Parts: sequence; C-alpha cells; structure tokens
Amino acid sequence: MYDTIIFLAFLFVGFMAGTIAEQSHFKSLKKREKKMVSLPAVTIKNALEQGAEVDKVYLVSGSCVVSLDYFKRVLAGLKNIVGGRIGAYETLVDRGRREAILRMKEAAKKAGSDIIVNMRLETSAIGQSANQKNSLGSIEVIAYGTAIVLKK
Amino acid sequence: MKFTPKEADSEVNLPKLSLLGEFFILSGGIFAFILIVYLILGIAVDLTVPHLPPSVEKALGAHYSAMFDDGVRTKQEIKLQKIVDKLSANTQRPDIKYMVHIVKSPDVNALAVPGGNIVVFAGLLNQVDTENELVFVLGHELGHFAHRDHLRGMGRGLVLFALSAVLFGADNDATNAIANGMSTARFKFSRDQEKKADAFGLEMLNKFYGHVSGADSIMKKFGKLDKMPKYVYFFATHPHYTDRIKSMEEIARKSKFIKGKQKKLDPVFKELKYGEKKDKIHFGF
Repeated sequence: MYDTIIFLAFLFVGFMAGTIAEQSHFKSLKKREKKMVSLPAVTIKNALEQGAEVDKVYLVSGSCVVSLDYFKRVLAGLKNIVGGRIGAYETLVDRGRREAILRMKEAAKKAGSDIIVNMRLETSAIGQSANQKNSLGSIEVIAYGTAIVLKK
Repeated sequence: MKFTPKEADSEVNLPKLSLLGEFFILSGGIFAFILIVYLILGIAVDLTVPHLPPSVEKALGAHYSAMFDDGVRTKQEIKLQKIVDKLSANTQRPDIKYMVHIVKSPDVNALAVPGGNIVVFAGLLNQVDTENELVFVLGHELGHFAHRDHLRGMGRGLVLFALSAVLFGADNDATNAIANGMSTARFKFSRDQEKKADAFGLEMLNKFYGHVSGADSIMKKFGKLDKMPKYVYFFATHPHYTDRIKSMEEIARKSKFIKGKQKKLDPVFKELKYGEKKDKIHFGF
C-alpha cells in the first residue's frame, strides 16, 4: 500500500517538475538558437568561402548532461513492453543535442569565431544506471568542432 | 561557398503525442490486458481444479503442511482434531487427511490451506463459547475443501504470481508481495464461495447435533468485533455478516433445520495463551 503511494507521489512529482523544466528549457533553446543562427556550425571540413583567409583556429566543445524524470522513466518502461517510438527519450536526447551545440557555439562566439567546421556530436549514458540492462538514467551529449577566425 | 543564416525546423525530433496521454493509453491498455489474461487463466483454474487427482493435491499441499506442522500436538489441537475427524467422515472428500493447526495469534480467523490443513487462530477460539459454534467454523472450512476452494485460491495466486513475474520481473516488489501472500497462505475466496461454505457448515452442524444453533451466534460475535463499515464489503472477499446470517436463515427455513440447546465448550480452549498484536487484527473465516 505504502509502496503504491510512494510510487504515485514520485510519478506526480516527476511529471510536474519534469514538464516545467522541459518546457522552460525548450523555450530558452529556441531563443538562444535564434541568437546564434548567424554563427554557422557545419559538419564538412572545407566550408570556407573562396578567398577567405584563416587567421586563428580553435578547438571548441560544448557538453550537456541531462536526465529523465521519474515519470518519463516509467513511461519508457511501459513503452518497452509494446514497442514503438519512445517520445520520453526523444525529448531527452533532443534537449541534450541542442544544448550541447549551443554551448559549443557560445564558446566559439566568445573567441570571436566566424564559423565552426568539422562539427561532431557524441552521446554517452552516464550515472548510476548507465549501461545497465533496461535502464537509462542520464545522458551526456558533447558537441565539438574546429572554430575558425577569418582575417578581416 | 556562401553561408546564408537561416533557422532550421527544430521540432522534427520531438514527439507528436502528449506524453501524459501516451501514459494513460499505455497503462490502461496494459492493465486491461493483464485483467483479461487473469480472468481467462482464472477460468482455466476453475475448470482444471475439479479434475485434479488427490495425489497432485497432496503434493501441492506438502509445502504448506511443512510450514504449519511444528511436530508438537497441543491438547487443544488434539481436541479439535477429534471433532474434525468425526465431521470429515461425512464429507465428499474422505481422501483428504485433515490436520488441524492452532496458530497462537489474536487474529479471529480460520483458514483452509492445501494439504488438508485447517488453520485456526487462537483469537477465534477465544471468541467461541460453545462446541456448536466451533463445529460450525470447522464445518465452514471443510466446506472450502469439499468445494476445492483452497485449490482455486492457490491456482489464482499462482496465476497472479506468474503474470507479475513476467511483467515486472521475478525480483520486483510487487512480485515478492504476491509470493509472500501465497506462502503465508492467506487464501481469499470469493463471497459466493464463502456463502457456499457457510451452507456446508450449516449442514455439518445439523448432522452433528440435529439442530443448527451456534452458527448465528458466532456470526453475530464476529460482526460485533468487525468495525468496518458495510460499504467496504463491496470490495471484500467475505460477505457482510448480516448477509451471511440472512442467507443461512434462508437455508435453515428451506431445509427445515431447527434450533436447539448448545453444548458447552471444553474449558481447555480458554487456556490458550497468545501474545498481543500491535498491527491490525485480521477477521474472517
């Protein structure tokens, strides 16, 4: 009986806190992405305009660690029974990726870069339940690339 | 290469459905599925149980017998055993070797446990004043054996355990709770089964004494002890005691059972000592 009450309480708290945090995060992501749109980050190596001369080159990286709330974890567990698209995980990795890229861009902007080339994204599961069967706790997403400052 | 800044659609990777809606659909669907499987398997249990040979029943009950048998027979247990032996000669299940166990606990309860085990709690013996009342309680439990309710209870418990183990894993809290419930043999039967067992007990009582006094008096005592409001019984396994008395009166009227003088209970049962219990006392038989 008490187990059930505790479970439901966790579920409720997880849902409320998770939803509020997620929504405000998405809002902030949108706003910051708009601000950073002028700084391109591309995955190709030779993205410079004809005639552009490189002044300085940096390695820039941005990393983000983000976790599921209790509600999403239970929901993903239920979805594991029937299979299909796991929306609970999709928002998690999407937030991680976008936040990591933004942080990388912010780092590049501070250094006065004009473009980030050869950008890469990597994801790993970390935390207590990392790499255990049937469980996903938190993920780390790291975005890194080569920031280039052009000669003016 | 010229780069033109442009915003990309960032929503493509997000789920289209609301997660809360998905949760309700999923949990509701899974719950309904479990319920259907449980009901189907429950019907399968009901169909199988009447055809179970006594040897299988004995093997199934061996575990429970070992749990309740401490090797020592108290004088109260021997007395009860004598009554049960006399009663069971009249049942349709003479193949079962009945064994009475007294558990020293204030619970006002008695159980029919596979393996021919009749478990009587000391709290119930303390409430009983006449031998007739005792015979009715024992007859009621013998009724469960006659109708194979104990096997039904066990079968359904097994189904529940298997379902929980498949869904939540064998080492889950829910699974463990069900497994515990099964091993302590708190067999719960449906209200219908309880009423049938009451009718059986009433018949036993009539065969034994030639009248049915005692059945109503123990039931009334039980009702006085149980403070639960009546609406709770909608969900309970046992019918409310007033309903039980009513349906027994009906049977007595139809079968023309008469009332008579009750036999005093052997004072040896009042000597039973049992400890105080802190948590909730269980009622019902």
